[in-house]
Amino acid sequence: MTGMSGPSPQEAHDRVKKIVDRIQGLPSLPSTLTSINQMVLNTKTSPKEVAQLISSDPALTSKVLRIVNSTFYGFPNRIATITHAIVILGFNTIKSIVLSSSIFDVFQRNSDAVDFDRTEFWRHSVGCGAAARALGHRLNYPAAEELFIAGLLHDIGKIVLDQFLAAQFQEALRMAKERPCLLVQAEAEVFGFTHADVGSLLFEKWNLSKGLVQTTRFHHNPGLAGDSLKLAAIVHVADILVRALRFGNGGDEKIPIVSDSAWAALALEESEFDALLRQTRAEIEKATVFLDFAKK
Amino acid sequence: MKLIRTEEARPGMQVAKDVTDLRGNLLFKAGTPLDPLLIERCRQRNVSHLFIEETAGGPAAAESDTQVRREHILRQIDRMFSGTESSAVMVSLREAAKRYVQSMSG
Repeated sequence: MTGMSGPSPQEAHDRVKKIVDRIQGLPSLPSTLTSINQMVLNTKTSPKEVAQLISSDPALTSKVLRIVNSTFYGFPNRIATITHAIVILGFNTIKSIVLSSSIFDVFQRNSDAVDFDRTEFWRHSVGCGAAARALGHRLNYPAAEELFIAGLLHDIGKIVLDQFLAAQFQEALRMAKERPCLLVQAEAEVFGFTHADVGSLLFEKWNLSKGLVQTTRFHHNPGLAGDSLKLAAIVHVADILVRALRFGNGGDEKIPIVSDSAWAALALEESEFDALLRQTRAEIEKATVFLDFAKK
Repeated sequence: MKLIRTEEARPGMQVAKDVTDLRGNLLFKAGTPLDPLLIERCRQRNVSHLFIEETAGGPAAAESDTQVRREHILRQIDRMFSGTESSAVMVSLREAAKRYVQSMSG
């Protein structure tokens, strides 16, 4: 959590970057996605070429087709080929789908930490993506595609901490449980930085969009997200909505207080919470396909 | 334990065996109390029958189980939100979360 006195935000950022840079074996972005990113930079790339690349990986192909044919998109007719999917959805959406379907395989499956259940973690993450979608509908947010992925990925730093700095992460989990307090507060005490810092640094390394990097970094402090204020505010409120629904668990039993700047940026009314909770639950049902990926 | 058709399932009933879809994927575990969403998921996944725990007191006991579970969830919500009372927005959200639980189990 920022807000602590001491080094400037840039100094703190550089310090965490050094720690993350020293982590051996930090996963890289799935190679198919790196290739797609390069291909779509070239304006002459055709849907067929990108489809050929995706189709060379049968497991990925099957996942992408499951997503595009699920209630998440709700197309009336079956989409049988990747080329068809790209023509209908466009390159950006396909990139999001490839990332959201492969992220579950980037990290190992199980955690040694008794207080950190990866299945519950992914349920929280998918739930947050679904809540972000529900908020996006309400707010007529223009780039709806990035909402789900931003919610899905916002807490990825917790997995990095769990996998690579396990002993301290267990201590933070224990602290969050015993006090009780938010895990992000316990992390700040134990590590001197948080999953939000670590997640955003990973996404910088992966060359993900500035919006995703900033949202991940500031989802507990959206007022600091600059150009990405609105997206960060949506993910911030989405995280709170999915906790209020008690869907999944990100490693603690507390709920953050809505940030004033997020609340002002979204201009929501308190009377809308009943509808937002129902709509979040409905979006979670549509996103079941991602929960299936998380289980396997 | 008794076998019932999925359309006879009611919220608050407890499944006696793990529930899987036709491909054997686990939907939820034995002991899970049914709620409207789980029942809907069974329908969507073409689960035609369910093994249900027979509660000693019949439907009345099932009703009181639901009540106990609901109270438990409402207390969890209070614990989760404790310390956020200074924010009017959070108080509204807490109450909405409780109304949601009441509406789902009612």
